Amino acid sequence: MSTTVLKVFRGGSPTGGLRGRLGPAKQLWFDGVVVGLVVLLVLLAAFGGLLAPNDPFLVDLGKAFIPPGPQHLLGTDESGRDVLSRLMTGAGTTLLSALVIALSAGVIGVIIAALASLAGGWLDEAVMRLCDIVLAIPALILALGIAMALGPSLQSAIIALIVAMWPGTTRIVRSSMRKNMEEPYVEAARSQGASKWNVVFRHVIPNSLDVAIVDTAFSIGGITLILASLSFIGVGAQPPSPEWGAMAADGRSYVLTSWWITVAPGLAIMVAAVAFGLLGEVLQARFNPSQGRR
Amino acid sequence: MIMSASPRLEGGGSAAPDSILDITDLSVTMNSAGRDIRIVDELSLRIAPGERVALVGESGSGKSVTARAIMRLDDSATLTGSVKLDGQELVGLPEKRMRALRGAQFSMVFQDPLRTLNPLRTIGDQIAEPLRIRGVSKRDALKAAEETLDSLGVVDAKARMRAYPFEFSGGMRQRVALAIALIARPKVLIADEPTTALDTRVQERVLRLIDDAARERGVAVLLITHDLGVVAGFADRVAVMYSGRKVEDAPVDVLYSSPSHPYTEGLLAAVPRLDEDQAELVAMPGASAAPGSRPSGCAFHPRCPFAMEICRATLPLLSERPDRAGQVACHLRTMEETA
Repeated sequence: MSTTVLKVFRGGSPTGGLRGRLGPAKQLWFDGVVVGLVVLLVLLAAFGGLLAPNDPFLVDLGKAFIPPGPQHLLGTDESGRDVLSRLMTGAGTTLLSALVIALSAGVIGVIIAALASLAGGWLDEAVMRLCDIVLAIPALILALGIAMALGPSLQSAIIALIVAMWPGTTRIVRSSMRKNMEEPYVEAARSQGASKWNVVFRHVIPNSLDVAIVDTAFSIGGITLILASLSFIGVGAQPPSPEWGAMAADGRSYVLTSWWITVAPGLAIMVAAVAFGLLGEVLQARFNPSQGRR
Repeated sequence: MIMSASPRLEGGGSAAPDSILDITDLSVTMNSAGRDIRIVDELSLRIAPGERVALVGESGSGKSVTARAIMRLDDSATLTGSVKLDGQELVGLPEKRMRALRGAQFSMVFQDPLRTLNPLRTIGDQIAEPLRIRGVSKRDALKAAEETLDSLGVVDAKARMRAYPFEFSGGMRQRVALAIALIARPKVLIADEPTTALDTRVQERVLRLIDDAARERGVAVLLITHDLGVVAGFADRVAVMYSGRKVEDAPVDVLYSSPSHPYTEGLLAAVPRLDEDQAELVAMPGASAAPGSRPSGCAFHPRCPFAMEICRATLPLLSERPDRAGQVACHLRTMEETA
């Protein structure tokens, strides 16, 4: 990590003090494992398809339902496709979609929070109430409704989830902005002739980005779960796509006889959700040491 | 004595306006819990070009509100009266035109130099910002920022430009804040408790720095403080505020040698002295009057050792001090005059 990044990192929380650049050894070890796991997942998402030992789409009914063994490490599914290969290829679909959703929702959320703050007055209020309404509906149900209305496909699921997720970011960023608006450096900037626009984009938003980043990282895990759920129900990725949720759904009927077809993608979803959730926690602790870990 | 106390007042000349900042009957009203409270009440203050005036008072006396009202920084405050900056009326001026004046015509240094700097931006960027806002190119603005920082006695200014605020000590941060305030060459600098957050030894250095920098650039300074000890070596003239009103206004040496208002007297007695053997710190009895529940008549009467019947009933108006050196608002002095 370059010194500049460290400076910004520490500078982000003046009350956090200068204590410990990377924290005590135990915490460093934990953070390292989490970040390592996330990096591994991202690499898998990027290159998993290329490294897959077998063709994930090759149907060979003669090889159906082979249990995990040296030939097929995670066995084969009902069509004789290699589960490990499908899992590795599907990482790209599931994780990249989740990342795209989280980043889009994060960016849109920050922009809407900034515009609401600039507009002020009733428009600001209206946007916040809209966020409250969206947040009152469980993300899965809302995404399900939107995805069904758009027609079942991976793209619909992605759009539906972006729509369902941005208000969370807007809400949290707007409240952080409100706090930062009261900071003396805002008044100081105004006393130098800074415009409202300048104050919001050069002073308030940069100082509120830490909560947006933490919130986005936290949300990736949940998004992975919801995306898989949508595919599992059938409104997300469609067969024969090796999306993890769809894979788990495929194996549903054979879970008592050939458990690996369902359990393997299920475990993958769980590991990804936990890893990204922990990443959020690590970032939270690093950005706001005073607030501690969730 | 009077002449030496305010040389700049006399030396104004006929071409230049005799006051750069002219506040007349300024009242500031704020709404608190559905009630309009008048925080500053008919304050008048004139500052000549290059003059240093200290506005002194306890917390809650309205001095900081006055500073923010001059710059129109608080949108929730209602102003009446007149504030003229270099002849330009500021009360009622549209925000867009106010913005053009802020920083360029007058600027401000605040109390807490850590929190008035943006923690995420480099020192250089922040000093250059007032020029960048006004369309100066990044290169020129950064060059000017470095020169300003250098002129304020920051060693190795070039390297320090790339540092972040947390890497600076309190005194250094206040230098940076001062550089930000001065870079666009304003005519008036408002310093709101600029040394309160600093330790005593740094206080004096920062104050001398403001003094030198202002003198060099011919900037008039309005120093807001609660500490009369800080004022002595700095200001030409002192205005004392109590509960939103100006109660005394005189050249600094006149005010120190012969305070006219009992409140000023109390404040001076309360300044701890290092050059005399003091067994105890002197404190003024009672507490400052809150703006929402101001006593009738003279707001100071519950704490005043000389309070008379008339003080409870009638508000004393500002009039000339008995020695003609300044103004005071106290019935005691008016009675001395007529007696």
